[in-house]
Amino acid sequence: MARTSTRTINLEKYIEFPATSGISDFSGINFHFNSQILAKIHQAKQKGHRLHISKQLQTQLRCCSLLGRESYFQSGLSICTYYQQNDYEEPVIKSLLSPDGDMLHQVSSHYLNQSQLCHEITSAHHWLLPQLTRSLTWQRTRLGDMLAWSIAVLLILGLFLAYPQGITANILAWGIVILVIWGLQKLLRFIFSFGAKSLDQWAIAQFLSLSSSPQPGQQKMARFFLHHLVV
Amino acid sequence: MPDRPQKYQAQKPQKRENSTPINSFLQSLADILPEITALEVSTIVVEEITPNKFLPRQVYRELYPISQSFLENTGIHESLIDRYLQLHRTLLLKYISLVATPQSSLYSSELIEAVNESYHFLGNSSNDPKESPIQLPDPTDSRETEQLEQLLSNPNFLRCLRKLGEFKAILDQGNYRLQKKLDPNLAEMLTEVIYARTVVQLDGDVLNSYNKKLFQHPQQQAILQIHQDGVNASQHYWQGLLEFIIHLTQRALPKPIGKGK
Repeated sequence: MARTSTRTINLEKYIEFPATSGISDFSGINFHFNSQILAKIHQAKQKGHRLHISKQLQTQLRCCSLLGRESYFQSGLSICTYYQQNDYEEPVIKSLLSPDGDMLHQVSSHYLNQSQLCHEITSAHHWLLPQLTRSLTWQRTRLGDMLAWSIAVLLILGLFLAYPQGITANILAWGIVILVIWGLQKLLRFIFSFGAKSLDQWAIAQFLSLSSSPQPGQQKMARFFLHHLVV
Repeated sequence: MPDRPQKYQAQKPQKRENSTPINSFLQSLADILPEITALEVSTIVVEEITPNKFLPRQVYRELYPISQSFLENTGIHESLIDRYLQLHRTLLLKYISLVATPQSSLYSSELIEAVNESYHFLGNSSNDPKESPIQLPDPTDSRETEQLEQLLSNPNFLRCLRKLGEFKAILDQGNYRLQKKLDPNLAEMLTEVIYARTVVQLDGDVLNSYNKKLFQHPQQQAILQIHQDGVNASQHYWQGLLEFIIHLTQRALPKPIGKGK
């Protein structure tokens, strides 16, 4: 953990995903810099550090890349860098990145006149862009784990329902029940691991169909998938 | 003068036949892949950067009525009229290409003749695109709502609309400044708003083109540097995204196409 933190720079506070309204929202991502954070970014850049991508940032990036027709994958993504100077914040550079390969960068002429500052802001912006796709890939889905836990819990619950007289207030008995559930889910996970590839494949196919659906319910399920089912 | 061409209306959109789970994703992929012929990076210098918001319906409503007479009536500066018309022409061409593509949900075989006429008509840049045989669906006409909905849910069309929306915002700013006479040289600047463009083709060829205005700009070195950084960043960004899409598709598809592997 310590090793990761020395090699990355955490900019989460300065990366904004404007709130989605639920209906089509194509707003994109905003970076908010000031002189202090700009200096930190350049230091990190020189030392070869990378952007720290937390689980939350990763999920947000995946959501805006994949979900709905407003996603990067469907209609493109707009990334804008704002700079705060003398209590006033204004956009300096905006990139419209389209998945068909058209990339449009707009630079503010006002900042061009402050060439050193403009260079620092735009190079920080450009340094961040490629790092946003770095974290999109996931290793596996947790569908098998969730299934194993659910089945284990349901089995024990079923047993209690079938034999209600077995329910006891004894704390030791409850400890054993928890241990049994844990052991059972471990066993089930082991069994599921043989079919992990197919399960994974099925989950991703389901996710992809949900992610491109315009229906809000299916969008929510796709969001749930990205939040809780991928590692 | 040829007769005013007959107007055609695209038929109601057909529903896609295959609706198995992953098909909609694969369709999106199929829409993008033919367009991936090169990475094209453009750098523009603007007076003011507009916020990130993109509202497809609103942008469509702004681009739809553009015609020679509309621009004259709304007081657009005469030096910008051709550029505004070009926006409408580009959007219309995108729509026509969707109507003419059999794989597209907007495809209409009955309109092939009108498609050809429209291409021919729009090929002449002095023609007003509003006179083209095929027209964009009218957002104020309830009979064309379904067609418009279909169009606005097409990612390919949305991407085009989004880019044109950006260009329209730049032209609107220019028009404002010209009307207010804030910058007498602006009209000349706006004839080509892109300062630098780099095309990286799939075979590795790199083509750079620069607007001659760039070399008269006092900050030309800074713009060139920003453009070069933009090219590098875009390349890495795009590569990352394509790798992710390929990775996802490989994991979601049942089996590799080649059997016995």
